[in-house]
Amino acid sequence: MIEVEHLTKRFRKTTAVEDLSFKIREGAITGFLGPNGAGKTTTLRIILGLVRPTSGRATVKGSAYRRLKDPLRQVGSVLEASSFHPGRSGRDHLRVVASSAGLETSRVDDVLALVQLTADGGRRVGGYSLGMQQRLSLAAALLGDPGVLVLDEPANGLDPQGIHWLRDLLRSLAAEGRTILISSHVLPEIEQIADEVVIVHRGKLIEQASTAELAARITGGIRVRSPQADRLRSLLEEADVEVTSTEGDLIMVGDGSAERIGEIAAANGIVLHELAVEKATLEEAFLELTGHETTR
Amino acid sequence: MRLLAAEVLKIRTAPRTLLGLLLAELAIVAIGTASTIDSALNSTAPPGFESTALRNLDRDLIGVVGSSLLFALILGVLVITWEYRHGTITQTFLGTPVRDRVIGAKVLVSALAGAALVVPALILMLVIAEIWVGDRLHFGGHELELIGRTFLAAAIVAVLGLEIGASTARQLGAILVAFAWAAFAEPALSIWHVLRPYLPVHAIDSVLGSSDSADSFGRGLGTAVVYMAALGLLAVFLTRRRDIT
Repeated sequence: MIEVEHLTKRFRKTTAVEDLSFKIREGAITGFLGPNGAGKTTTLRIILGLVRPTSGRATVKGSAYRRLKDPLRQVGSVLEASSFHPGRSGRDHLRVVASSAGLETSRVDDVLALVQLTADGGRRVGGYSLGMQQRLSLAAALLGDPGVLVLDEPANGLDPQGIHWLRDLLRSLAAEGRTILISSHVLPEIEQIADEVVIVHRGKLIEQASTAELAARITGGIRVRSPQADRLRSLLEEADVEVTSTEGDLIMVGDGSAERIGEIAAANGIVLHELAVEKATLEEAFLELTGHETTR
Repeated sequence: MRLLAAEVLKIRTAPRTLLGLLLAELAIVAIGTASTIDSALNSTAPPGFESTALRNLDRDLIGVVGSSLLFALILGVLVITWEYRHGTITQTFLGTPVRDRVIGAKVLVSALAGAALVVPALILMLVIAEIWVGDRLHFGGHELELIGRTFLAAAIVAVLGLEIGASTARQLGAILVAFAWAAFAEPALSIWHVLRPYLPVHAIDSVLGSSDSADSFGRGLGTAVVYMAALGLLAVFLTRRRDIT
């Protein structure tokens, strides 16, 4: 669906993206994550034909963006919230976008309603809050009813209700079978909606995996509670299972499977009150993979 | 056609900028018309003769309308640079990723909008002149030709403005480049008489035909077309290569 192959982009002496390759699965929501300056925005702009790669290529549905027929009917995008003429009304902004892309202007009121801006559609965009501008960007992205959405920080400027609204909107759009590539620094949000994640760091691919796979791979350990904790700890250490800490009836196991711990306990008649794999959050996985640098 | 319609819509839906430009143009034309008429009426001539200023009043008044070329140039620059300034160029290139087509549509719309700016200037000049010296106006075929040339020159200047704007992608930069050329570079280069017929402001002057130093209309138009083509190629080349970050 979206394919990036050996993409490199240099701005004079700065390498923003270096030999980056990944594929975005059709019909999935993919989170595109990375710390500040990781090359996310540059990559998204290359995908959308706005920035010329130094080498490599990016395609959507097998074609470079500039070769797509009626591109706004195929790909919708949100890149920055401030790309408006401040003297133009929200409705007029959408009319201009629809007119230049050959889209039906009757869609303008539909998408304004979808992003809950019907009442403010006649107001000048210069008077919009950042959150309203973000909604207007989303409306423009949805004008052509595209099958692919490329969203760069779409939650920027949205209040908690707005973020909740955006999450529901993206879920409903994904449920219609759309492919969504979303960059965001709100990792818990991505964790809630993304099927897969692509993590980049210093312009290079660090990881591409499903959200569940990533969380499972980077676990926070196994939590075991037993009234016979001391005896269980000895048995686990005899079986070469790494015990990281013990506190009262709680044992934390750093490595090993919950099944094996359960079997050792059962074989020795030890009562267990709790046996749980502590899953890492996406944020923890992200920080581990990128060396605790902040996200944008 | 859809791109042309979209470009027209962009101009129509940013009324404050257009209104500001129009008001400034009308103010200049009003002052210019009043000053031209006043100086013609107060000019002296031997008894029984008409002064040169009165004899040339029709031509000079049309020359005042030529000041709308300044605003046509600015409008041409704005048609593209306000897209860069406000970031709407991103959306424009997302909708039409083949950038040459965007430039092509903007060239046509700039030409039309630039020529259209002559209309209010002409009407205002005629209204003031009719009220003040209506009995002395003798608009004939020659004057109508000069008016036609003014429309054409405004269209050319707007296109040149657009092309400078597309090449620099900066509003103030493009306007400064155009004015620096007209105010300093071309007068300096005009010292060499052999160069003069090939300089752009002189070519526009020849298209207008309202000054005594102008060349023939055909030569002026030919030179202006060469400048439009050359700057157009530069604008397309730079716009194609530009990263929209």
